[in-house]
Amino acid sequence: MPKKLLTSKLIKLILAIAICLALILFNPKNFFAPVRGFFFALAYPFQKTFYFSGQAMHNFSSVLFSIGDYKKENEKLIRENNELLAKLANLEDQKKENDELRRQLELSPRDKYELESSLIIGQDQRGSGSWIMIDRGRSDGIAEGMPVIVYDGILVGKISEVYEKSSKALLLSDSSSSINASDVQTSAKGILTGEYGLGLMLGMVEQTDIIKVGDDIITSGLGGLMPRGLLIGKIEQISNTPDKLFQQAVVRPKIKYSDLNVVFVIKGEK
Amino acid sequence: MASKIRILIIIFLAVILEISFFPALFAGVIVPDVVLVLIILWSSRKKFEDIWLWAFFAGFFLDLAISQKIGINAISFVTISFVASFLRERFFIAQRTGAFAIALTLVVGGTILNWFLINFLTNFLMNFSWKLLLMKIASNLAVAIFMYFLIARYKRVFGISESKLTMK
Repeated sequence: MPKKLLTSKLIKLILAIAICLALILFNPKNFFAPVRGFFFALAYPFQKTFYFSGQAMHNFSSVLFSIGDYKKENEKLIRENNELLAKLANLEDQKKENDELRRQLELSPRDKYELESSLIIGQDQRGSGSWIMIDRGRSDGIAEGMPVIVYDGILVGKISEVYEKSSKALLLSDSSSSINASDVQTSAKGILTGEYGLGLMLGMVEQTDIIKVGDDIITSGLGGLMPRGLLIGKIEQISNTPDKLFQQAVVRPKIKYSDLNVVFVIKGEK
Repeated sequence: MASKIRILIIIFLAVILEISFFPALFAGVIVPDVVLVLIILWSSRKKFEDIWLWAFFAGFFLDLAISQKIGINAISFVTISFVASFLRERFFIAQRTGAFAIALTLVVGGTILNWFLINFLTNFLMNFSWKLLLMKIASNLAVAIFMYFLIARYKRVFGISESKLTMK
């Protein structure tokens, strides 16, 4: 009897594994797209509620943990406030200078795009910075491939899947993410890919091109809906590919992807 | 039928907890595998014949939600459910006491197995990090402790009858 039971169990296990392996190998993404769409339509209100509840609890616990630091924090803030007042006078000049630098570096002006602000309602549960889920979808005019930025024009990823009221954005650090990028200071071009959620890698940079540690990396605007001039990060380390045909560089993203709360989708130019 | 719908809702809510609530609560640093823990705890109380389809659907739901290749979590959950069920029936059935410790042991083992299976099936390589794995085990254990008592308190809601080996 136990032997028979084990056989029946094994058959079920093998059957399930065979079905799963077939699904993984053939990856019928389009076949499941309607099911996925229905799932996210159903999940949308729950996702929003659960995400905001989680965020509220996170904020509350942060407040609780930092309550002892409030006195010190208060003194520090008063000191900083005085310093800031002194610095305020210089800011107007710096703003002008900043605008001029942005123009010289060919960074995109922030008010150039039609932006759709959206809240994050879900993210990669493996903590590998692979994707985020936002609360804007097809009904808000979001389409696949649209760039996703944070408030000051820093690129974080692009829309990979669109549902009626929500969308999934693939972050730059995802291993399947790949965009054309260039070095602001030297104009060297390459392809920026994700490193399994661990960071970013600028590859396919020709040996004749010059790249330096500390250089800023922006989108080059080649291909797809990605405009030129969105800031990505800074070069941290440079090396050659194993076959020595190209240079590659580790790029440190300008922001921490796990800290995102609000992002903007670029729907087009104004 | 009502019991099946209940289980379906529980799995659905567990998926939402895993992709929306916990990533926000822990700022995406480490997220407990709520669905996996649920399947392991179920497997520690149910026969494989009764749980394998639920394990498959739970994995399928999670695959749908996280949009990676469909089947990755499903294959992992079915395998872990089989192993947990097998171990419980072969080795732990004689244990009259310590069901709690056994369940937690299964959670630790299941987490490690799931970690390797998912990493292998997703990237076809091992991104091994002891620190992340230990954090994952700790977070899964915390969720498992909470969920164990929740299941014990609301057995019927979770589709478990009084006897550990008989199913509703």
